[in-house]
Amino acid sequence: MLRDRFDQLMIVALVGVLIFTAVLMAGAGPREDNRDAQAAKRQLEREILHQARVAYIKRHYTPVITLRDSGALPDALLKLEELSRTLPGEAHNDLLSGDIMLRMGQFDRAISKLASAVKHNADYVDSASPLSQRPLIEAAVSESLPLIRDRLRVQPENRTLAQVLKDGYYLQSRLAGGCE
Amino acid sequence: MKYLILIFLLCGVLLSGCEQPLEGPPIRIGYMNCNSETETMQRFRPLTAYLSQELGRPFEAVPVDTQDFESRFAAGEFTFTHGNSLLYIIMHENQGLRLLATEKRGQFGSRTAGSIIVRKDSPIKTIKDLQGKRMLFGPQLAPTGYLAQYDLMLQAGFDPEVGLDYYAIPRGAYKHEKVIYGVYFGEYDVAAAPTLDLELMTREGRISADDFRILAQSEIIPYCTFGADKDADAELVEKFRKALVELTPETTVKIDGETIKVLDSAWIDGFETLLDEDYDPIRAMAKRVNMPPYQEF
Amino acid sequence: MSSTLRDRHFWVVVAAGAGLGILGVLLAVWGNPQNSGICVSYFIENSSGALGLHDNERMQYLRPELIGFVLGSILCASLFREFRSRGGSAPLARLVSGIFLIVGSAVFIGCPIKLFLRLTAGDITSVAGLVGLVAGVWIGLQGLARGIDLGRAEDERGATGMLVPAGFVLLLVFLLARPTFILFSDRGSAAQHAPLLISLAVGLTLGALAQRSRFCITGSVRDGMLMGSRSPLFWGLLAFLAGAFVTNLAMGRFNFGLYGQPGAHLEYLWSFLGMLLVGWLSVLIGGCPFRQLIKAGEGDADAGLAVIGMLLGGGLVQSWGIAATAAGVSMSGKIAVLAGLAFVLVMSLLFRDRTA
Repeated sequence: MLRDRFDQLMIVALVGVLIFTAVLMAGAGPREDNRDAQAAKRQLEREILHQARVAYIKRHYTPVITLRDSGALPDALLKLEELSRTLPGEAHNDLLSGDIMLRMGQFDRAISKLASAVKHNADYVDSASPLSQRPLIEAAVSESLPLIRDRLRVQPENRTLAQVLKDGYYLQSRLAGGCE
Repeated sequence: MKYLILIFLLCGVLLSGCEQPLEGPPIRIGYMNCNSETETMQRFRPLTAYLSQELGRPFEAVPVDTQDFESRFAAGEFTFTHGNSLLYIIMHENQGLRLLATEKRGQFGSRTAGSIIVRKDSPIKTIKDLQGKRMLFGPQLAPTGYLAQYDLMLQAGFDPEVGLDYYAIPRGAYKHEKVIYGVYFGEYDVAAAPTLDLELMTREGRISADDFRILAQSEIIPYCTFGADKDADAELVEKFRKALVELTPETTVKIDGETIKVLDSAWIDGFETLLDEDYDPIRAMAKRVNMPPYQEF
Repeated sequence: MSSTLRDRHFWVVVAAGAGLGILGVLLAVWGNPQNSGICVSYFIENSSGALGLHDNERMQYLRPELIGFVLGSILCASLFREFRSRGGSAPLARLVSGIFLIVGSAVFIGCPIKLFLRLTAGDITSVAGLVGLVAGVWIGLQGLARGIDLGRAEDERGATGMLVPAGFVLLLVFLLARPTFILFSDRGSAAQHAPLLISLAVGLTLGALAQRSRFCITGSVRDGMLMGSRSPLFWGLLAFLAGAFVTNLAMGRFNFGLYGQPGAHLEYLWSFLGMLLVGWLSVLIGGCPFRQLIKAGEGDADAGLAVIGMLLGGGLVQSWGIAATAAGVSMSGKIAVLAGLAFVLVMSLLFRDRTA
């Protein structure tokens, strides 16, 4: 391998590069943005983003939640309609809508709305997330699916209900876990 | 060369298949006017063209006023009907109208409700507080603009004929919107507003949810409904129903060279097949309120 | 059969199969997502995300099992003097095949190992994938019988077979040192994982066992078709099924049914086609995603390229929305599977030796 000057030159250069790399890494010393701080910063940023999102949602949807909790369900739905103008496509709109529909006994609509919410933001079925709504979704699925199945037995050609049942199975599957 | 001629002939045959002439006499669909004939025709012309295309039969749209709907249907002016759920019940009971499909629109899909609304700053908190107040209703045959609210008041032990100081129904088109604005501008203390109209006006930014308080909301009942004459060809009726429930927001039809989205144009989200017993809550309301088809004098 | 039972290799294969089945379930008990104790395609997608190849914040974790498979394989191959740098057999075709292996798996939601883990947990939606996998292997075998051949791998000078294992050593360093440019999810399924050392130990053990036994799922299906019960790999597969099934039952993780299964969808046609693509490609390139990792550890640079393709595929299926979810298969997922089938068809035409 080290038969001629060229090989020797290559070896020397390789050793040189490795030494230079080691010196660079070892001698870099503590920097303002050192590795640990960067990792912590990244984690912190994610946490801040999460908390900001939770705070943002809370701020915007507090009036809806207040109306819902006071039993003014139609007013709460109307407020959600208004919020959908300023926050179009926001999954929390679907989530609260599903919650209110469930309280109103509109099981099919509740399931569709909750499925849409989870499709847009899987945090709702994530036990570890501050946005987790597993008890609500579990209750919706367990209450609604038997009713929807019964109705479909009477009306097997109802495509809307068939889609709702599919949404229910989707929620069941997400609650069961597995990879995404 | 002969292959070329064959290809041309084949293309001719295929192309002629795309523009098949519609067979038979026109089949008429009566559409209930919500606001005006022009608006009704604009909304439902693409849907009618779609049905013609799908069923291979010439359909014709006929705009019909709500009050005249039953008599014109009884006179055989149209085979298929599109009207509100109360009209369906009236014609089902009196003329044997068959249920086809229910329109989906808004938060509750194929169902909707009626609301009694007041201004947010109104001192009225309950239906009992309506004593001596002025109220606006929608048209009398509107299930969620009149019937549902009237029933809500009766159910709460409040007779609007006796308890209200005065009540009125706006004149002309856009009655439901006029009802809502009537309360908004303080002309009336309370109004009977369809929940769907409140929802749509809020979504469009014409009113704010914070402007109103919903005093009470009715049971959630089926929305506008397609029906078919009991004597209509069963196969045709089934194809009609299938064509309706197969509609998706992407379904288009060509009219005068223009491609139009059928559901968008008709302000509809889709169709669902409901059961006749799903309309029983409306029947119960009509009986309690003494309205057609159960009216007793 | 009796001579088979006396064969040490037979028992190594059975141990590898049973180990993969039992530990595949146990890893889920210890923290990995349900039914995904071992899923090479899912691990690849997670690892691609950790390397920054996609930005799905719920799918970023450098899976230790994956590193363990390759390093277990190289350690074992070196110990038994089976490490041999080789390559040069249709490298680019293998790289693209690696991408499509992940596409097919992502549309089904799982690699062939996970297919059987799902099946043994009572998820009968996976039957569509099983039929697809068997069909894919059968079509692949028909192709091989009619002269499709990617060419022989030649011994390579320069130890190129070391490059991919070296890359995985680097990944191990990243996993332990956690440099800032490596991303780790703190939510979603990637945040669900067994303890690092356990995952790594399981990976190393299974990597070593798989290297010694040559066990792989599609290989077992293939040999089962060709040789029936005379094939040790076939018995390995049975051991896998028995091990996983019993462990699932023992751990209370058996949930028989069609609906509400974890990480599963109801689009059977696409489950079938996704796994058909995986089965077919696996036969042509000589192994399923798991086997590619093991071969890469043995110094097979061609398999190494397939692994690199798999990592690229892991990034693509997430970035382009190809991966299916419980909601179903996206349009881009369907198109990607069809593109994969087109690719394997073209490959079958181009690599066919018609002289015989």
